Amino acid sequence: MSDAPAPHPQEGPPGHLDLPAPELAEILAGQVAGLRGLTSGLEEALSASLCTCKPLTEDAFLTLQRIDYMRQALKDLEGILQRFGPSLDWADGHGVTHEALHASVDMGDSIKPILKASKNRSKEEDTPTHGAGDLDLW
Amino acid sequence: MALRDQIRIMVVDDMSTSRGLITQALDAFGVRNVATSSDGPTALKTLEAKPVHLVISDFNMPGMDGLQLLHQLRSGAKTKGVGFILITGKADKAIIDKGKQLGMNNFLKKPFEPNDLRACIEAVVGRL
Repeated sequence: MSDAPAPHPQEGPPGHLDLPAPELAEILAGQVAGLRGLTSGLEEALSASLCTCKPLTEDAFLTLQRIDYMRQALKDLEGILQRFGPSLDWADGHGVTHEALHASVDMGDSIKPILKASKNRSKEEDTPTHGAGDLDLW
Repeated sequence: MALRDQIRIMVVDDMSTSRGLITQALDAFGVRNVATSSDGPTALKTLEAKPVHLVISDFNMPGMDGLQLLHQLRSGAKTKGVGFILITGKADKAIIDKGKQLGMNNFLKKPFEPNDLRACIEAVVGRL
């Protein structure tokens, strides 16, 4: 018997995504950047509705300042993913499975870019790099 | 005439929501003479042409941050005496110390309530 822990039902070779960790980090950084853009848009829209004729409650005054905090936090997360993403790697035998990925989110949209990148990568790998008449001497 | 009727304030912040919130709070205090700017360089130009009594500036802005703006203000003949309040999300000691060194009059940590802003302003310019 092996001392290794039993594999988690959502881990293991079957169903693994074909996606290196740096590429996943890059995708996540892009998604965070998109959220930051949405936050900025939200902030602009809210500021346009601010009016001195209708003063805000203290709670609303505080909450609106947190939108700015959220935008800056998203910018920082994007920076961290971009800075450290390229040096990330999966531990041996680990990676992301389709099942685990689906189980980790509520919205399918959140993992769409990840699945697409994995699919594109698999396609590239399946495509022969030599034409029928090419000689491969090595 | 109350100070709030005479004082001229400029709010500098790249985020329109923050500018709007501060402007709204100032309005509620009775301060009506408020200019706004979304970045340091534009604020500097405006302030050189039309100085104010007090600048309330965000720290974290692209291009020129709040402390760089303060440094420029203190270097300008027309703007060196302006009151300066820094608003910052991270009240790091290094930022506050640098601000004090540059001649910052007061600072406020985000998020803040309107009364915090009022107290911060009154500590610099007196009762509104």
